[in-house]
Amino acid sequence: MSPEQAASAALIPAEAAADVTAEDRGVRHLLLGTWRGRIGIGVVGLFVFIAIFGSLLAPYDPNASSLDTLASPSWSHVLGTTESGADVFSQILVGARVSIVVGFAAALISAVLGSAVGLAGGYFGGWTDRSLDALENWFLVIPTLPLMIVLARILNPSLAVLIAVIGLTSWAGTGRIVRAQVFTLRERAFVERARALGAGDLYIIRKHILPNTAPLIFANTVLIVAVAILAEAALSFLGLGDPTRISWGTMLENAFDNGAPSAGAWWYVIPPGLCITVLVLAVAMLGYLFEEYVNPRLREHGE
Amino acid sequence: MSALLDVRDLRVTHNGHPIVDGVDLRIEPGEAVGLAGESGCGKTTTALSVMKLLPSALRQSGKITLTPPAAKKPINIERRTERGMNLVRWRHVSLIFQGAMNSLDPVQRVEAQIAEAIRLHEQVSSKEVRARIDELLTTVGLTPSLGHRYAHQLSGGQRQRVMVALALACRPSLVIADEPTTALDVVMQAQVLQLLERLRAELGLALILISHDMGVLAETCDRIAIMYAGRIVEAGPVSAVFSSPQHPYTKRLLESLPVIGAERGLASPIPGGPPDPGAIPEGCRFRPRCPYAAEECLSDPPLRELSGGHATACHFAPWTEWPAVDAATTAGVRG
Amino acid sequence: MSDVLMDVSDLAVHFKARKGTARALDGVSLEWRRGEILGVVGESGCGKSTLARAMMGLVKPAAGEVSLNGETVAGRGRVRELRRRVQMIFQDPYQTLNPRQRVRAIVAEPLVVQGVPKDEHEARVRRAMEDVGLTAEHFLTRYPHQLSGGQRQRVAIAAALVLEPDGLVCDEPVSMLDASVRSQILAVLVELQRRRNLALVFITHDLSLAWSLCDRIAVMYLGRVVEQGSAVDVIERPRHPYTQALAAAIPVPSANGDAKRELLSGELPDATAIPTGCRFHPRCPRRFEPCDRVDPGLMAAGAPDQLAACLLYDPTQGRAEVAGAADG
Repeated sequence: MSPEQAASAALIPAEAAADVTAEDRGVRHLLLGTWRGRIGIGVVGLFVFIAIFGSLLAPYDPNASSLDTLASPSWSHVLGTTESGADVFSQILVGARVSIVVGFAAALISAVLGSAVGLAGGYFGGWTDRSLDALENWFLVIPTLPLMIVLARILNPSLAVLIAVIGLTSWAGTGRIVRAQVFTLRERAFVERARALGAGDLYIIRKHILPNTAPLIFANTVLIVAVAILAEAALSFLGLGDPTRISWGTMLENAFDNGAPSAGAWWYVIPPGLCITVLVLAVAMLGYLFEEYVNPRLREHGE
Repeated sequence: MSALLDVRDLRVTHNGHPIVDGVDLRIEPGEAVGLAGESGCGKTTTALSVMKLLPSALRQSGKITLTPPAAKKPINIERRTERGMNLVRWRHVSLIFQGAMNSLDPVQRVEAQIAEAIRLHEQVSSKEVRARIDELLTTVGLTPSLGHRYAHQLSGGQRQRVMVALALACRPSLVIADEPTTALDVVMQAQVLQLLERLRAELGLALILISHDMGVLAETCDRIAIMYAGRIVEAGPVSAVFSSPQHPYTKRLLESLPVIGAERGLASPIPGGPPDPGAIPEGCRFRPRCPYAAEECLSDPPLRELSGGHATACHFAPWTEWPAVDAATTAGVRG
Repeated sequence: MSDVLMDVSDLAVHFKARKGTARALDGVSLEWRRGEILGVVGESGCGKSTLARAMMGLVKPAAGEVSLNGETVAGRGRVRELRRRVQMIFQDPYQTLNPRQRVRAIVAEPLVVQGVPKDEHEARVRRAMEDVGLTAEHFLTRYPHQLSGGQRQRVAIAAALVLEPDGLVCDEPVSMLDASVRSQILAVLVELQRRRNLALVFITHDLSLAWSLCDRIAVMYLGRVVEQGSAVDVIERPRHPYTQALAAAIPVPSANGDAKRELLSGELPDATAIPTGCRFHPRCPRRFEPCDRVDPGLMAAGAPDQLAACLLYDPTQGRAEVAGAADG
């Protein structure tokens, strides 16, 4: 066959390339184009905004007590007052910060820890994997809330401790998922190709394994944010949170401790509970959205 | 004697785009018909339409009449509901699909899966089911005791035979085999084909064999239909089509088949690819890639019969000889 | 520079399996000559993919050696050189590219890993793209999911060419591609081989393809080469009973009716349970007395450079055994 024949046979018109797929439309479409994405990003965005600017927006100093105790909502106090006369609305605004910070920070720790363990175990296999896997199993098996309670009890309660505790008890799930993904990636032809070129392990992990695992880690981490926010609320409610900080969980704690429910002070109990629920649902919605998007692509031939 | 399967004007669309665009197919009892073509030409879709197994996103129309020897009256498949189809599938027509040997349920024993297939479509006593399973496994060349195993305990070739046994479970008169030998190496491929041949002879089965491998079809089929972009472009007895192809596409397909003992060398590839369902060209669909395309090809050639059941959709048929093609000339409309 | 690019000598590769040791390669000797297309054919499980990986230095041999340009590949320096001179093309175009990398990064990767100076990258990448028939402007910025199977395989070939290797090991490079795309990719490979005088190893289970494409063919069975020679000799006039059975199993698109063919029965045994004596003897239609005791090596059979590992071609081996047994 002459070179011209081969050349003309070989050239492919660019139009023949595959159609634009969902991936091209990308994350932006996912967030802004679907109603779930819009609600999710809207709600979470709103709460993040409040977390940042809450203290500026609050009409009253959330800690300031007054004589107007357990007052029902009025024009001066939109959501009424607490047992010490502090403004509930201001407390809600300020409390958002704790939830968001703890939620994101704990999820970050969990992601980093889980990914590192999952990557190491999944890629290197052998004894590394077996020991890390045992460690992971241990953390998975232990009931998280009791563990959190015990740890929070032993250590002096503070925001940092809270973050650490939640992070430490939720990394194992991520670790599992990452490990499974790395197992499949390890055998892929493009990894073998890199090895055939003489690429080292660190290069392969950095360039090939990690970028293909990142979407999964991301999707999983978002869900962990939801879990972390709930966990913080639970721990604070049980009195194990940072006593110097106002959070929705501590608000609930105070409300119950001071008999707000039986006093009929719904404005004190419902708003923090509602905020927790709404935020967690919105984050979870986003998390599932990402996971749906990531998983089928990963399950198919390498994308 | 009426045909076993009579398909008239089958059309399948996806979002308004044609996947199968007016296919007529007629199969006599005990006949083996091959459907050839590249991927995307609509052959699998055609086969699945016969069993109404298309995904809901695809719309199907056309008349499909099945007249099995056992049935009292002809079955109008296009009019059947899903429930109605359950009485037809597997009982009268069954399917061996692509990559089948990996489709066995890994957590069920083989015999349980065959039993399930039988019970889903027939009212049969347990004793008869048992007897039928043994008979089926023996028919495909496996010892009945293998039925007790799980899929992973069988070798690839054994699994493929189990798939054939599954397809025969309710003694259909028509079996559709979709690429049954793809991804098999040449020895296993030959064994499967030989098995299908034997079954045809012993059980009087009719067969629709779908493959992109012309060699496989030539071996096993009586008649062959070549599909391109949703249409049949040539059809006829295997010997006629292979010895004297009457469509440029068929000619090119045959050319790319190496014939051991003849002159060596790779045929030059057909440039480009089949058209997108959403962008079917004007006139003859093969025109953009056809080295013999001319003015007439701007009008869509109908499938017309030449002689002895050999039909083609090309304006310039009958071709008695094929003029030399200067492969450096890009295909296109000349003149 | 000698004729031989790579010399595989008595190579053995073992894997640990649950049932025992799988002897995936059990003493393979091959010569891969410069500028030639060497076909390696056999059923799945015969060890051809393992051979490819062993030739690439991706698996550690249990015995035997691989030498490149006359020198044994051992030690980091030699392995690094092997990696530069010999590249591999894989079977599945949908798994062979990193979905998170653009084409440019994929094709340039070998240059990065092997430490080629950065200013050379652009030119080399473009040349490789041109050689495989992909216009750089259109394709360098794309992601794999935007490419068809044939285009992906071309990118993989371009990535293999960018280091200007002496040889390409192709493991079933077209078996997962559609018919017309298949011929396009084969055309690319053939053209490249011609233009760059590349040596190619072409692994396939498709005998007709090997026949059309290759200069020489080695037929593998259960970890050994059982026949080798020129493509025409091996496929048209096979000497080893296994090759004969394989050739007989090729579907023949003849216009006349069916010829009765003698088909091979059964399946390839497991690599953990290789039969004693000649490994093919349980399935061999032409076996005779010593075949279950004597393990034949490759010996002259048929055409001048055709070899087959079968006692039929050196019955003296067998006869000596029989005579010994009779005496003993």
